[in-house]
Amino acid sequence: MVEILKKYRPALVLLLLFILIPITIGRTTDVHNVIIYILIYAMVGEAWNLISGFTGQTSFGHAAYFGIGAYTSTVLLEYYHITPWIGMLVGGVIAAALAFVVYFNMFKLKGHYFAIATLCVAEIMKTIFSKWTWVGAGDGIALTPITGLIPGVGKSAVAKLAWLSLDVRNRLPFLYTTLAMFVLVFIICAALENSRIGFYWKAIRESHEVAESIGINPRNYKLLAMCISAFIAAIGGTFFAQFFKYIDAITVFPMSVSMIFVLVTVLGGLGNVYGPIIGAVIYYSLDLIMRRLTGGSGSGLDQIVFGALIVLVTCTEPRGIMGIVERIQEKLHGKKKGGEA
Amino acid sequence: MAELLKIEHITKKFGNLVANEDVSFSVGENEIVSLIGPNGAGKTTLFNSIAGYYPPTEGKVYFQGQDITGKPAYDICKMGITRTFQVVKTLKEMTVEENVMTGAFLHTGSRRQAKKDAEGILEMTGLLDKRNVKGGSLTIIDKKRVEIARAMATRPKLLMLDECMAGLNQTEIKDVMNLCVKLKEEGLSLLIVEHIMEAIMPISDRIVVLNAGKKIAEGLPEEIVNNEEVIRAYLGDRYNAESKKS
Repeated sequence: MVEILKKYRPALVLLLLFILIPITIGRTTDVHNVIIYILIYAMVGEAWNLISGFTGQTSFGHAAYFGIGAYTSTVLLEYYHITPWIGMLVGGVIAAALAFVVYFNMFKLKGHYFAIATLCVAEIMKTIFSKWTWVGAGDGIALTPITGLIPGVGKSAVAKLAWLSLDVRNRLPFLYTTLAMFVLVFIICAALENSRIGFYWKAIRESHEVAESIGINPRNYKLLAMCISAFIAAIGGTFFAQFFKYIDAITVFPMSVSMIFVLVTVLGGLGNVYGPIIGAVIYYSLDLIMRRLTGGSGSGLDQIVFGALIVLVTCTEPRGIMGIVERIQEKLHGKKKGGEA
Repeated sequence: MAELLKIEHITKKFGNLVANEDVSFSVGENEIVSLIGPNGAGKTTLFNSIAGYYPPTEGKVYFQGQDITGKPAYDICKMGITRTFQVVKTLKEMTVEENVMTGAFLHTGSRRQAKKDAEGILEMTGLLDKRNVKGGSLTIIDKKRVEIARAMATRPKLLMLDECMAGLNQTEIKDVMNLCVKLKEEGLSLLIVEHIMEAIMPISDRIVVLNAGKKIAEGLPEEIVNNEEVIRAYLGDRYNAESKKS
């Protein structure tokens, strides 16, 4: 136990920062919003990292699962009054089932071809949901406040229901709930990385032939990665819907959303559990700083800076910022050793 | 000697190209059999057919009496045949220890057990002091060692080595030879594809010679070196004729 805590010391420091910042230096709605976005996108980034970072199958279509999560929980809440806590699990199962059916044979595709296929899946979902009248078609679904959803309940009951329905009139509790979920996802991903499954995923990423030669069925392990990844992405989608309070196909399914998951992870560190959270922090901090600097929407300046940053980082170190950190660590470590000798 | 691997009348065609034609031989328990032949003789193709990378066009492969023809590589590995690759395929982003652990995970779900299993194999292959080095930054001899160690970790009954000595210097070849003998002492059977005669002769129990896809000879090492057809295949007719004259 102590060993594990020692190994994940940076994670504990990060967690502490995430707990403290919202109640100390960042006590504004603006900062709270940014932190919630960081956590949601980092969560889905972790999911994307499982299939693309660890297993090496680049997906450009994770918005598909993200959107399914958002739609499932919202539809269940709005139409059937089922709490999003259950809704996110249902959404996760549906997303995982979709991933299983779609990729059962699609894993025959490799490299770029696979990436294009994943892209298509998300685009198909976008088209379906923007035409499907039962889920609001082009209008999307706006989530009604909890008091409006079930009329005639008392104030204390509303407070309880707010927890149950993940309502975000009060941002701080929602922020901590999202944080707790992110921590859970982080722990799951870290545990997977250190298990047999994680080793097998990495072996598949490095070489299909080697994986087969040591008794790994690549298709099964890729499917497993994709399904777990889809499940987590759907949960992220539910949190997004609960936070944004409005969803339509253009908000949750477009390629730009898929690319956020890719970019934050690639910037932070591909195939590293810290990657998505580091990348998301940088992405959204940039957004916040640029907005403060220029006023209003930030006039897209953050996009320019972020674009430059990602080009710079990936050119110098393909493993992202965590790769650079590792390199510095190795150098320091090497120097220390040299000094001792 | 009990037969471990038996291949019968293997033919492999790629379109009109016949890579293997009617090849049959067997590998006994605790035996080192070498597969030799000039470039393009179809050694690696035969290897791939046995290890399940592609099914043979005709013929059967039996392992411990069971028909394994056309089974996928990962199933064949689970049964007890593990191969290495001619072009080394080290898992670059993983450390030496992790490379070997990946193999060891075939028999255990526990990380601790896999680490323990890997340690023994790392010691035997002389990689213990490099356990934390990333696979990508190793020298060629160490990459080949990792290749063998990773295969060993799956605890095969039959280990198939595809040109594991190519590109090594004399001392390194000696190292690999010793390792092969050590593996045999551990009770393994080996099927080795190799070019380097002086390395293969002393350690092999039996040798099978392929030329242009066909088996042209099989026997003890000393029989093979004096076999006329083998000499002709390796050195050409002219040399064979000259050797007769002198």
